[in-house]
Amino acid sequence: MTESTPALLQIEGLKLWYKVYKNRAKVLDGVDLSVAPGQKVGLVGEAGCGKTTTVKSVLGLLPRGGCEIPAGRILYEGEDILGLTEKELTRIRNSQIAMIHQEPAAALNPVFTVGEQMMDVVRYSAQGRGYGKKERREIVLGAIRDVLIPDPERIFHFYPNQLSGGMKQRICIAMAVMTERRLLIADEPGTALDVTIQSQIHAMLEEMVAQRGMALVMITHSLGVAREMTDVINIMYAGTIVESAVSAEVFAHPLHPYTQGLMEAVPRLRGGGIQAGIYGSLPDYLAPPPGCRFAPRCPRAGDRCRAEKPALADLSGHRVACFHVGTDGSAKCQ
Amino acid sequence: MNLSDFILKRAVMSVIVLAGLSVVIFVVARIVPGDPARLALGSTASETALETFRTENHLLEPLPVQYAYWIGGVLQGNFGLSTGTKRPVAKDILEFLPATLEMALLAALMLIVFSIAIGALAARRRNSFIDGAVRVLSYIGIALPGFVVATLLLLLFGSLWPVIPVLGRLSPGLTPPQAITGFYTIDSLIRLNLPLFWNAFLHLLVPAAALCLGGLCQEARLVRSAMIENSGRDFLTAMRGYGVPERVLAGKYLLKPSLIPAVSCMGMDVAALMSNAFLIEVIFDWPGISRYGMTAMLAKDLNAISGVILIFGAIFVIVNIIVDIVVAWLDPRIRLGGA
Repeated sequence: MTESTPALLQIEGLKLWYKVYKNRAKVLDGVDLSVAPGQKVGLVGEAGCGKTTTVKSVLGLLPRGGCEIPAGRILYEGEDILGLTEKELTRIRNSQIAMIHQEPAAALNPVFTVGEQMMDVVRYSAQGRGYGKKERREIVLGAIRDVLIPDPERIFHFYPNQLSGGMKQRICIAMAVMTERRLLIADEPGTALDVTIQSQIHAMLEEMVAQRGMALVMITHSLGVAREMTDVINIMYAGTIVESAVSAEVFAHPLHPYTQGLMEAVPRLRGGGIQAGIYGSLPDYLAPPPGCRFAPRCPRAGDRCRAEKPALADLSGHRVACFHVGTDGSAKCQ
Repeated sequence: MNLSDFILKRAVMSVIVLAGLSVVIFVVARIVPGDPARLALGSTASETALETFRTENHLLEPLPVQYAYWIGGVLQGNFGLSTGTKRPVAKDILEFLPATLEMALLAALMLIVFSIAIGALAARRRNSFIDGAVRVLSYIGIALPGFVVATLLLLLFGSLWPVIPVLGRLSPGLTPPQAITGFYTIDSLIRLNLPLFWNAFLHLLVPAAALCLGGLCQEARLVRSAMIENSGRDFLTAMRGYGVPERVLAGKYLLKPSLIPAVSCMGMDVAALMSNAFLIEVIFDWPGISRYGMTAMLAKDLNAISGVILIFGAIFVIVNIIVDIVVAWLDPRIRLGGA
């Protein structure tokens, strides 16, 4: 994918504040993210950095009245989603974008059978509108079979708590892809599962997306998963994208100090132990640092970093938000 | 375990419960002080008459034998003679039970419908004026004892603002419909006597409202808090994200899981309606089974006491089975026994 392809989803300078009593938790501080049709985009960052908030805001799934969006745009095929009414949003939700939620156990209603929930998802999708009960049932059974669960007829009548964690995850994936959508958002799929199941889930997800020609936004806190599954990686820190580039490029030349810290924290088979990693923790969103949000943890932070927020600068396709990276991608001393 | 197995298991258990209850009732009724023969025949009865009464009623046999006689009769619908009314207890129960059941059933209906409706409304308009009013008023409703509510309602509608009749089952001068079910409202409807139906229905309203108020307020609060708690759950967000419309989310995916805590609580409150009916019956001059039972207790009318308590026990057990079934239907985790 190249820059010239018109974006399917384009998030520009998105700021989002959660209302906390009389205060505001300024979680998102200008997120820029672009997804081209059919592209697989990774969103990587540590827990609490705003990954889920970002994608939930795309579908309008954050509690209305519980947050405000002081700046930014979310363009889906050029149309600003933030201006849509709930009814217009439903059109995006039932035909364009589907999301797999983080916790499969929590994302399934415990008092309805898997089949009944899936039937309703088909029923209220744009595609399923004209379908009768029998056709909907066929779609649901096919979808359960597609995620490699044998005996879909039996699973159809199961309640979520009768399924294993891996099965719940598969059902959630089936739910998201069984009717036509152009963009799939996967929020840390398989995180709660053991590694072998997790890699099966990832392989299946890749296959589903490829078969259907869907674009994918993959949220993960694992660089390894992002490298395997995505074309472009966006590194997120404390509500901003700090670095964005083609996956191999991010691994070959990590430019942002945060990305470099993340890379060092990954244990390697070659040995040598785990490096220093990154000292400290995410900033307090109620009173975030005024300049670069990474400055308090950054080994290279200077006065300018603490006072001014660096913009995401484009260095021939590799974008990074740091004052210490020169136009040629080299580290600058300030 | 599927639903029918679950119901069968519950039914078997309730038979055991009722058998145990019958033993307890029988023993308690027999060991309380006082001579039933003397109470039945009066202080002027001769010693021979007392002896004859005791022999006829097996009062001289050992307790287990007495129990066998008694339970054998009960199983055939024969609770023995009431020493107070001099009639078979079964006949008395048939006469007085429908009045209480009619009131309790309407109270149960009001409790279920209004608690869910009010709770759901308050949850949907969270932090609005309506929600605030519901929260405050429901506290008052829970805190006020039933007999205070009943007395206040009697004062209000009986004297200050007589828009609705509050004493007895029918206005004076009206003849009750011929008994088919014993429920005046249903019997008058069967006879197509609409004015009589309306009169009987109006008489029911205030006692039933007084009877169910406490439970109604409690359950409305439970429905409200469960709906608010569940509305932030991932399973709703996920469904919303798939484009499922808000009315389906609220009426199906939010409502069902939110009813579970309230329904368990409703079961106990609905079952308790029968026993709480006693004070209501006294206050509203309602010719029901609770009043009959209380008279029997004061007169040490053993057969009547046992009969009434056993009927109450049976109703309690039946209501509990129904509630268990409803909860099991609502919450598969219960009938499936967890993951």
